[in-house]
Amino acid sequence: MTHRILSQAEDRLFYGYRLRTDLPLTSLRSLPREGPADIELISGDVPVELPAAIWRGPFVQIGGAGDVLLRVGDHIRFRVVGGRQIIVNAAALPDAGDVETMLLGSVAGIVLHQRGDLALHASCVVIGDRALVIAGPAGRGKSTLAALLAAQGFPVLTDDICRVCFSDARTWTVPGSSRLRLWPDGARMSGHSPEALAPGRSGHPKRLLVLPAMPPGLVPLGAVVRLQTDNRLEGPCLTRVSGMATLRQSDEILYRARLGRRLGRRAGLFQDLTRLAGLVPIFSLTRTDQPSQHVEIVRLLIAMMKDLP
Amino acid sequence: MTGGRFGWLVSYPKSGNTWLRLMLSCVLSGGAAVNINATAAKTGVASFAEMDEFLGIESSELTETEIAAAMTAFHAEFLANSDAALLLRKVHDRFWRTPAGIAAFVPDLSIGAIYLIRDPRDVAISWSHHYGVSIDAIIERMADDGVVLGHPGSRGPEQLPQPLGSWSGHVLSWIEQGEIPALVIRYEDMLREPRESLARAAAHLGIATTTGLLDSAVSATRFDHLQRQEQAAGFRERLVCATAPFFREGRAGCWRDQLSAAQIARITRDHGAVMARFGYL
Repeated sequence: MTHRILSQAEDRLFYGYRLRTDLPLTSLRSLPREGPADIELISGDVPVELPAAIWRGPFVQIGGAGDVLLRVGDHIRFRVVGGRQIIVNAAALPDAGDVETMLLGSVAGIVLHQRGDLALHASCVVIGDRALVIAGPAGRGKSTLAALLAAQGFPVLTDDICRVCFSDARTWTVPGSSRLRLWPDGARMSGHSPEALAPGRSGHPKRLLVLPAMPPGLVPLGAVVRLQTDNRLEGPCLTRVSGMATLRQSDEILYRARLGRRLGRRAGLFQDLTRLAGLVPIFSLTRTDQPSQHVEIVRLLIAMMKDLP
Repeated sequence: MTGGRFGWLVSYPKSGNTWLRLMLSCVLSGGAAVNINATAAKTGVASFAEMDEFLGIESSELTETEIAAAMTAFHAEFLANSDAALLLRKVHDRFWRTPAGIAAFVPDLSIGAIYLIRDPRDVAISWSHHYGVSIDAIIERMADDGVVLGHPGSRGPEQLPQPLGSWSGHVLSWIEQGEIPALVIRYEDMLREPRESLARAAAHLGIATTTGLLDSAVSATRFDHLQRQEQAAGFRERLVCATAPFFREGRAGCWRDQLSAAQIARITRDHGAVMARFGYL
């Protein structure tokens, strides 16, 4: 049984794909309705358990055919099939904010893995005519740095998940979600009052900074910066990584590497990362957890991008 | 699952946890040299990044209740992805239960726990240096049953929320839980008799030792050695806001000349019953 919210489905740009949605997703760029959709988002009844799951966790279950159930709380459930169909549990629809936050985050990551895309755990900002990919695991400050760069006028291409593709022996980044999800300190650091920003999920301290969505089209990837913390340093340290070191701790720059491998992307992810390392300069940015270093970090990143050949 | 289980190294903050895990890690590595920055990182506190990877979810988008409910599954998945028979894990949490009433530290997944206890009067001094805040503020915090470490209320944290509670409540939660065999070791005893304390901890966790191995581990982790390493190369776990080295003094009884009479009285009032039980009064 399906439950339609919009009188007519809309087309939206979703990590480079045409998403035909029954739900209003106003933070995604609208597309004129034409041709077949790449991904369909509908509402329906999503079961609590996936029959015959080959892997079960408290939030994610993987079916034998690679379909995925994602569930949070009592009602928020998504079933993602083949990277082409997303079914959101109808009972979750009243929690529209929570649904959108999950959809643009964890659900998008599942879709990209199912479609065989390279999804980096990264926020991405356009500096000049190239993309700066800021990568690292949770809590390293990706979104905060993107917000700081946005405050200086640089457009945000995506937050937290960065789809990368290869074409004509070049590497490209794809516009994703331009809703930055910031912890209260991150919001303050980038000049915003957390109280003035809406929460991403009801009752959760993270806040949403909604920026203009980028137009469709690929942006050449200029550099990948891996964020690391080391409180022994006196100041931030930006260094170019080369050789085998580019693949070290590679799970830290992939979005849900383990989930991707469970979805059959073991070899594909390794090949994509190797290709990425061969085509794009990779840097390591190590800093302390002192907020006062962010001014210097932003300066370093802008200078680095301008110095790229 | 591989059949491995956790060995929990539990303590209130600044009670000698890092020292003990360096000693045990040294034993497990056959007496190899200790590098404080490499060894300690392998047994660190659970993080959002680990939960993201093991459970396939954006855990920083979860509420504290949702994270708490997932802890047992997180621990099970952590083990399933390790080939170690014993996984040492540093823990500052009090012993707590998920919303479903299940112990967050699952007894079936645990070999045992070492509970390190330290005189709360010395803890207050050490913790105040570690956070760079006043001793009075720390004494207040040590009496608060609601304290959570890694609380995601402000800066984006890397560590998962860790229900800590008051010093007394923390001690009692672990020694009275009765589900995971917990061996209590006093920090003061570990200072006085490190070899014997290490031997007891290793035996409790089923770690095979020899006299030579124990001697090597004690020697490699002598406080002055750790201090020298920190002086030479720093220590990753020292906070930027700290007002003293992480390996600061390594002695017992500093409170006698560093706390005021009022501060001593407040700690004794808050925690006297538990202090007396462990020989601190």
